[in-house]
Amino acid sequence: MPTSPRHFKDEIQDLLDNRLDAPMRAEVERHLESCSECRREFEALRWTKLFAAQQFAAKEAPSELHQNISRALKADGGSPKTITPLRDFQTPKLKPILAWAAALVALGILALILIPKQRPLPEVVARDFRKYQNQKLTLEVNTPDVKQMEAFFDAHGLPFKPHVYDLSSKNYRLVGGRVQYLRGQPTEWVVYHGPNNQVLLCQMYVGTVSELPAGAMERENRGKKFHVYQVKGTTMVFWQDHKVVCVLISDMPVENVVRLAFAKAI
Amino acid sequence: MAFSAPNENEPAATRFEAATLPFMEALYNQALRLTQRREDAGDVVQETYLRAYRTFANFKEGTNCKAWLFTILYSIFVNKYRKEQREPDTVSIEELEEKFHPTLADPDWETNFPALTRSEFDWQEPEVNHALAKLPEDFRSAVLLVDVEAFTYEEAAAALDCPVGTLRSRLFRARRILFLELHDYARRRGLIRRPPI
Repeated sequence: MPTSPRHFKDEIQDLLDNRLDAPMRAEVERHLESCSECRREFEALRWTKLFAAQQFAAKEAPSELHQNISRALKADGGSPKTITPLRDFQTPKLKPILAWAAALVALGILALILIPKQRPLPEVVARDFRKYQNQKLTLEVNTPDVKQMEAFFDAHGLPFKPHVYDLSSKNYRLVGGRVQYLRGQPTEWVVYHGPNNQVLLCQMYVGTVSELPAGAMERENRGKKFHVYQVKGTTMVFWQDHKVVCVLISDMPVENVVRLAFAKAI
Repeated sequence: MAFSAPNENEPAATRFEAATLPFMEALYNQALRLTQRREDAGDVVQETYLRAYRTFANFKEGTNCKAWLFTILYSIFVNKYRKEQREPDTVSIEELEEKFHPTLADPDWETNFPALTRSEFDWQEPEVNHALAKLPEDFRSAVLLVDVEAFTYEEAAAALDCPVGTLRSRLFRARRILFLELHDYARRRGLIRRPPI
């Protein structure tokens, strides 16, 4: 098989896990186009990652486990105390972490000044999800009613016919939504809560999935393509629905989000 | 599903419940993959919740609760269960890894790889689970935390109490070995006709 003079190793994994900056990502992607050895390695690892996410995802825990935990907490009887925490959350490691964090922040600011660039869409979408979770982004309307939610978006002149998924059959209840701007365009932004209070966000905007950056895990269901991204523990599943791009966003295990997307994209 | 926590601590108990309950299944899955026994997995998760509850006052809301819980779970597993574990018939890592690039150099790759990744192929759970179980525990954990639970390298490294570089290396090698195991399994099932080189 033809090979290029230099092969990538760590970079292939970093590309797979979305850990490369834009210039390096472009360089590795260019290399993959011409080097079948590295491309095969990337394909093999990408498939393995996807396979693991699918096959080893959490199954339902035994029903008695919850009761056992509840009983154990009752028997414990005490209240949460301030006691020495377990390893890794103790403060001695905090100083070097803070120093690194400070250095990274400084570098980040410098980079922002020197390299003005547009953030990739998945990063922006994930950032807004985090903002909601950290209560820095609030809902404009709180309602469990799908029709009411659609009427809200209708009244706000979105550039497409609003559609709000009813996920109650999947045990996700509608909480509310807002018109959220994405790259200057108004988008439909709807929040659901799952059976264990997991937050699920559904965002819709006019665009095409071809605008998404490389590095997605591609999935297919009933002829429809899904593009799966992970940014700092947040999973996003994008798919095209006519002129609208839909995306489901959550901290849940990847496969749970993918399954929901499969179910709703029919 | 709601915990009945002590009444006098209702606000803290409620906050504890809201913060930790969504991760019970993920914790159980992780514990089961580590201990390989349902009873042990249940015990590990139960103890994780107890310890988390007792130290909940240390937990800062808004930080990553899932990573915090997994760190506790790993600490319990390492201190109480790992010593008793019979390390399964883990493969010789170096020996297996040597097969990785020759496998990728398969002249029939363009036919075999799409066949391997065909979504309708019926992967049998015991075989697939065995492929995962054959990985050394540190490697297995890296795959489970990053690929299944979508942890960042930093979160996974913190949970496993190892440097990020070590986590990265374990993950890289684990994925390679897992690929080879699955590739071999697919070949044995007749999905890939040509034996690996």
